[in-house]
This record gives sequence, structure tokens and C-alpha cells, in this order.
Amino acid sequence: MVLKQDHELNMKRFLRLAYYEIFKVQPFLLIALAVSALITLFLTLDEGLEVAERQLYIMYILGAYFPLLIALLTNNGLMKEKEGHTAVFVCSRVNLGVLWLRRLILGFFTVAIFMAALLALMNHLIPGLFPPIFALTLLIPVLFFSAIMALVSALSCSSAAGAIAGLFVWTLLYFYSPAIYSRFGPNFFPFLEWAIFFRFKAPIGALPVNKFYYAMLCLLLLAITFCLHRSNLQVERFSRQ
Amino acid sequence: MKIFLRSFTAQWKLFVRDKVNWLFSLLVLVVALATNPISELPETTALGYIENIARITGYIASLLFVILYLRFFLSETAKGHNHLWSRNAFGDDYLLLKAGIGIVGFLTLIVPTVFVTFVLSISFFGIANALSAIWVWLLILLPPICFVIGLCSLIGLLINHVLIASGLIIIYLGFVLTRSVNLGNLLIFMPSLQMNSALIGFGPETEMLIYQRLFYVCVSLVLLTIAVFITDLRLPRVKPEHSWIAVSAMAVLGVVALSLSIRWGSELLNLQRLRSAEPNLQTRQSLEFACAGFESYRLQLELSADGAIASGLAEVELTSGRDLSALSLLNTGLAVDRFAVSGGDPLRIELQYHGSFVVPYYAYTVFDLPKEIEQIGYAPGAYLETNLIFLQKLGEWHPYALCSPDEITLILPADITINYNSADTEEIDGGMRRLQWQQPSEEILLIAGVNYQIEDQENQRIYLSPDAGHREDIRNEQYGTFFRLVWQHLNEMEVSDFALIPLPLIKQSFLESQTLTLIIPERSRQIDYMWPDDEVGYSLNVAMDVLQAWWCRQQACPDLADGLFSKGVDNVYSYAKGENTSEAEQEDTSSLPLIFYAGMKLVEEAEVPGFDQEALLESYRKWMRNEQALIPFNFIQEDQETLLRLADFDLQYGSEAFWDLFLTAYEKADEGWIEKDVLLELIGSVSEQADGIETGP
Repeated sequence: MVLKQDHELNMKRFLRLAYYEIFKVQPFLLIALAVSALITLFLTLDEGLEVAERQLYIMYILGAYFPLLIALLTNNGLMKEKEGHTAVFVCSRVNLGVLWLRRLILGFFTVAIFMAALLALMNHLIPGLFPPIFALTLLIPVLFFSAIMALVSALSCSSAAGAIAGLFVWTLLYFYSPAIYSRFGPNFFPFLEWAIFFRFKAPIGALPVNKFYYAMLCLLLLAITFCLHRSNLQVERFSRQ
Repeated sequence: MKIFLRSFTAQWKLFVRDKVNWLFSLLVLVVALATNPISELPETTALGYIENIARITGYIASLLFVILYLRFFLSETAKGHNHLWSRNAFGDDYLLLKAGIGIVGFLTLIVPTVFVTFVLSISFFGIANALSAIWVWLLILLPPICFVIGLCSLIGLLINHVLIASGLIIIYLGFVLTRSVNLGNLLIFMPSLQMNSALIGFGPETEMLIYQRLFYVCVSLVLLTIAVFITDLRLPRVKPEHSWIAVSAMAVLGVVALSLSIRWGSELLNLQRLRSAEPNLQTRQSLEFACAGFESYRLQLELSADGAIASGLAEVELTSGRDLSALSLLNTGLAVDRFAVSGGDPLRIELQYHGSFVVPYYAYTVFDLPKEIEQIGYAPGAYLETNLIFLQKLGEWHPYALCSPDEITLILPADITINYNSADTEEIDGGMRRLQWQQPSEEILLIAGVNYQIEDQENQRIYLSPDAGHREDIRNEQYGTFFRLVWQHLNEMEVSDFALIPLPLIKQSFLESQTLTLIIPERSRQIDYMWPDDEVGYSLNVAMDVLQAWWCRQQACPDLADGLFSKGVDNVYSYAKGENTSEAEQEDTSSLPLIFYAGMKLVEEAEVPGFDQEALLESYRKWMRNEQALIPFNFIQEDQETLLRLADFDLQYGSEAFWDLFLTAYEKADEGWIEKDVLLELIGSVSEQADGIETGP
């Protein structure tokens, strides 16, 4: 009876868990969010720039670079257990798949709150600077690069391999963005929010379709990653390395 | 030393045994092969291929290597390595060892890419070209990797956390790498080059590239020296006592590296300033009118072995007292030594100058330029380096660049190979060659110093680059074919013994009619950008280029060439044709449909596969009826009408009558341009003549 009570997920326990997972496990994520917020707010308030320039630079940061940064920082969520040689211990308490998903969801919940607050603040400072829907759509590229890194990390049991793979994909997509845009159009362009303000002048109406495709792809990648972690065979592979 | 070497070997083994590092190697190889498909190799040059692979590898590798290197660099700072830090030798050599392994490890990891590239280069371009490309690899790839290693070592030591350090550095590098700026930007450690020529390599970019690379090697050394000084503070080691000799040596190295960075950096900025110069369009316009007042214009130029202008003297005699002091268009790399005005009527002006000729960016950039700049063609009019010396009659190597000189004397070392010259007299005296031109009529005065391979084919002499590839063969074949056809139609005789000389930097061809030499652009952004994707479009461009070379053989008309090759992308033309020309006349661009139609006829005659003249004309008819159609040249309404009028005329009276019309139109043209009314009048009169012949008694 006592044991059952201990494992009940009440609000207090959830908050304690969330605090631990966000502030103790991923403190660098918070630092990155704070730095990103400072830079974007500085740009928002920079009167030396035209509003169109501010929109472009902010989306250049939030739409193209921010996803990479967050993906790099969240990729280590589970892999640090391996690198700290605590994976076997953790595995005895909680399924690795569940742990990974919990950390991912909490991480993205934090990013989502940050994004909503940041966009609200920017729109408060300059009314109509960005469409409010960006608070949601900007999360998809973050999720996309995180999913790629997480999948490769899970397959290779190395966060470095995941980071390299994610960075490689980002580099290709970024450097070849003009070719990708002209070949596949706005519906498949990975940095659409940036493209709306950049010289591509992508139509804002392409957002729902684009985000739907990428969200589906992310869900697929995340599902595969979850299955890989959930089987807990990873622990065996971790301990062998 | 022995311990260091043993540690070095051990660390290198650790680095190469890490499977993740080979993922990097695989990705670099995949990118190198995917971005340069084997099927496209015959269409490129050895230098172009290697430069492209080295640059792309550099972009990708600079970013990915951050993760690998930081992981490797900080691997012993994590828990569980205390036994290593308890040994002083490990801590002493740590930075040197890691940085050294960084470079050697990187070279190890790119071995597969280099090997595959090398094998492909040998098979497609020959062993000599493949070997000569090694310096390109070293020049392009090593400095950025040294910089990444220096930066990662310093930031890694300061932050001591792989994730945060790599995130920061990647964001910084990504930001720097994706900025589209030119070589002179001190932040850009991996520049993208705009020039690669089989004849002159990186050409005008070479000097800046070398300064840029030296700057980054020195900056990397500065970063590493700073890292050495903070090593004791940031590494978990027993703090040792350092000998003052070691500390002084490091300090001296740091100061030397910093001084050299500043020196190369300032050299780079200085060159950047010179190369960023834009053409002074206002002075050009004023000078064009001032040239009419020149009674005589004599030039004397002495070149040194490296192509620099040792001394230049321009002597002008003027009828009017117009002030020429502000009208000089002398190149930014040249310094005026003396400017003297004497006499009354005529007024005599002497201007002495010297210096190194600098080719500005706008003259060779691959990016689109404003129409006003595109219209002046290759305005510098010269390239003066050891591997190529070329002079155009009109160019910034003399102060009144748009005025045709009456007399030119050029003195240059006799051991410089002359590939082509249009001089009237030539003599060698005391190891110097003296060339003289009196009232030069040809546009290209001299081409020297190039290592051409000369090939004599049937009735033609072709100058080839040392590693002539498939692309060059196709280009020469096309130019040869169209030149023969043009000569046959417009001079009414078979061409015999003509020469074809490719020249870097120029934007359109020049026909030197006395020597029967067609000087063609080695590569031209405007002419061959579509090759090999659109062979018909390329053939049409080459045909138009040959026609404009013939059409402009007596006076340079770069604005007409721009009008032809911009193909109506920006069809609001305004050509300066004379002081008294009205605005409506200035916008008259009827030469464009005439030359375009003549080009179409040549392509049809050359039987270029895939070309259908009738279908193309039908597209223009549809366009005129406001129906949807794909047209290659977006003419203004008046010019479309002229084009269709020419087509009807050709259909009705035949090819011979069309070429007669073309010849007559040429005689009526003013600086390359013919007015629509004049052209239509000609069509009418030639039609009448033809009708007269057909229906006459």
C-alpha cells in the first residue's frame, strides 16, 4: 500500500520531477533559451534596423539556427546516462524509452513556453511583428532536427554520432536551401518561417501543409527512436561499449 | 621527444579507432561525390573540380569537425582520467598533442575523399593535373581546419564542456560560413572563389587568397598560443613550474603570430579596398565626350617581369582648354607620379604613373551586377600578372581609358612569351622587347605569358589550355563552326587560316579582322552559364557572340553584348549613343532582334540537335497575341515586331537577301545600334530590290 502511494503521479511529484528533469538534467537548454531570448529581443528593439530587417534577422536565428542549437542540447538527454555509466541503474527504475520520451516532452514543453512568451513579448513591443501561429510552427524544425539526432544516437549509441548526423543534415539543407526551395517549393522547405522573410518570399499559406508533412516525419522518426529505447536492449549495448 | 612521439602515436590510434570519427569521413566522401557527379567531370576542368571538392569538403568538414575535435580534446578532462593528470608530461604536452592529432587526424579522415578524388582526377584530367591540384587542397582546406582546431582548443579550455562549446562554435561558424561576402572579409575563414581558369588558375583572386590563408594560419597560431597560456588554469593537472625559456619562447611565438596576423590582415584589407572600387560611370561619360577634343594621345609603357607597370607615360595634346585632371580613369592599383600641363594651343598634358594593376571585383564576379556596370563590359581592359599579360586598346591601364591612343609604345622583358599581338613594329634590344602601335585599330593589343598548347586543325589554329577538357573542345568547336558560317555569309568567301584564342576575364569575343583571329572568352557568365543543361541555348549564345564580334569589330560595343546576353531580363534599355541623341532613339534596341534572328539562322544552319526555328518563331507569334508561350529572349514589344518582320522577310526573300540586309544594316549602324525606322526602311528597300529582280524585265 505504501509502495503504491509512492508511485502515484500526483501534482507535487510531477512538479518535482519536471523541476529535476529541466533544471538539473538539461540546465544548458535554459541557458540557450535565455541567450536566444536576449539576442532576439535586442534585435526587436534595435531601431537602427528597418522592421523588415528585424523580421528577417530574428527568423534567421529562430527559424534556422535555433532548431540546430536546441537539437544539439537535447540530444544528450538520454545519452548522458550512458556516458555517465548510469544507464543500467536508471534502467532498473524506469524504462529507457519512457525516460527518453519524458525528457524530450519536458524539454519541448519548456521550448514551447519560451517560444510563446518570446513571440508574445516581441509582438507586444512591435505589434504584428510575427503571426502568433509561429509560436507553434517554429517548434517543428526544432523537433525535426532533434528527431534526426535522437534516432542516429539511438542507433549508434553515441550522442556524437547523432550530433554529427543532425549537423550534417542541417548543413546540407541550409547550404542548398536555394536549390531545395526552387526544386521542391515552400511545402517541403525545412526553414519556412525564415523563407517567408528571406528573398524566397515564401507564402505564409504554405505553413500548415509544410508543418503537417514535417510533423508526420518527426512523429515517425520519434516513434522509431522510442521503440529502440523501449526495448531496453540499448542498455545491453551501452554496457558493452 | 621519445615520450611525446609515443603519446602522439597512442593518441592518434585512439582518434582513428573511434568509429564515430569514420562517420565524419564517410559523410565527407558522400558529399564530395554527390556534389560532383562523375558524369559531369568531363565538363569541368581539373582545377575547377578540385577547388569545388576542397571547398565543399571545407564547408562541411569545418562544421562537423568541431564535434569530433572537441570530443577528442576534452576526453581526458572528464572523470576517470586522474591517473593521466598525475603525470606532468601528459599535462605539459596536452595542447600540442591534441592540436597536432587534430590536424593529422583530420588528414587521416579525409584520406578516402582525397584518394577517390585523386583517382578520378588522374582518369579524367591526367596525372600532371591531378598532382598540381595538391596545392589547391592544402591552400583551401588546411587553414580553415587549423582555425577550427585553434578556436575549439581555446573555447574548449575556457568552457570545458563539449556540448556547450560545440553549440557555441557551430553557431558562430555556421553564421560566418553562410555569409556571402568576398575574400577580403576578415571573418570568412572558408572563402568561396569566383574565378577558376584553366589558363590563370584563380587569376585576380590568387593574391588575396594567399594573404587570406596566411592570415588564418597566423590567427590559428595566436588562438593556440592563448590556449597554451590558460592551459594550467583550466586543466585538472598538478601545477608545474615552467622554465622561463619555455614561457619566453611561447610569448615570442604569440607576438610573432599576432604581428603576422595584423600584417596579413592589413594587406588583405588594403587589397580589398582596391578591389572593391566600382566603375566611375560619371567620369566615364564625361571622358567619352572629352576624347573628341584630343589632338593626339601617345602612351609609353614599361612592364617588369612580374607584369607590374614599372613606368607609364601618357602624353595628350588638346585643342580646347578642357581640364583633364579629374577625368583620369587610371586603375586603383596605379599611382600617379607626375601630372604636368604645358603650352597654350595645343595644350600639352603629361601624366606619369607606375604600380601593380588590380582587377576589381565587378570585372569578374559571378553575381549579377547593375545594368549600368554590365554594359561597360570588361572595363579594366587589362590583366598584368606573370602568367598572363593582356592589354585592350581601351582600358584602365592608361589614364584616359576610353580614348583611343594614336601611338602606343610597350616595352617588356624579351623572355615573356608573346601569344598574340597586333603591333605594327616589334624589336628586341638588350633583353627587352619593344612593341609599337600607330593608330591601333584592333581592340586586343597583346596577349602574352600564357602557357597555351597550340593545335593546328583544318584551316584553323586553336589555342588550348594545358588541361583542355571536353568543355573546352565543345566551346572551340562551336565557335569555329559559327565563325566559318559568319565569314561565309558576310564576307562571301570561305574562311581560311583563322585562329581561335580563348582569353580569361573578357566577357564577349573580339574579332581581329586583319589577322583573322577570334579572341573568345575562356568562360563567360553571360554566355555559358546554361551549358551543358541547355545545349541549344548555349549554341544560340555562341552564335550571337560571334555575330556581335563581327558587328563590333571596328568599335567596341559592350552595351550591345550585354543587351544580347541579358536576353531582355531587364529590358528597360537606355543606351548612350551620342550627345544629341533623343531619349526615344536611346531606347531603340532594334539591333537586338536583328542579331538574335541572325543567330537563330546560324544555329539552324549548323543543324544543332533540338533546335526548331519554326517552333521558336511560332512562340513569338503566340506571345504577340498575348497567348502563353516560352520564349528565350524577352524582347520589348517593338523588338518582337521587328523580329517577326525579319522572319517574314527571310521566309519571303530567302537567306541571301537576309544576309544582304544584315550587311546593309551594319553599315547604317551607329556604335553598334541601328534605329527601328532605319531597319524597317532597309527591309522595305531590300524587298523592293528583290521584287524588282524577281519581277523585272
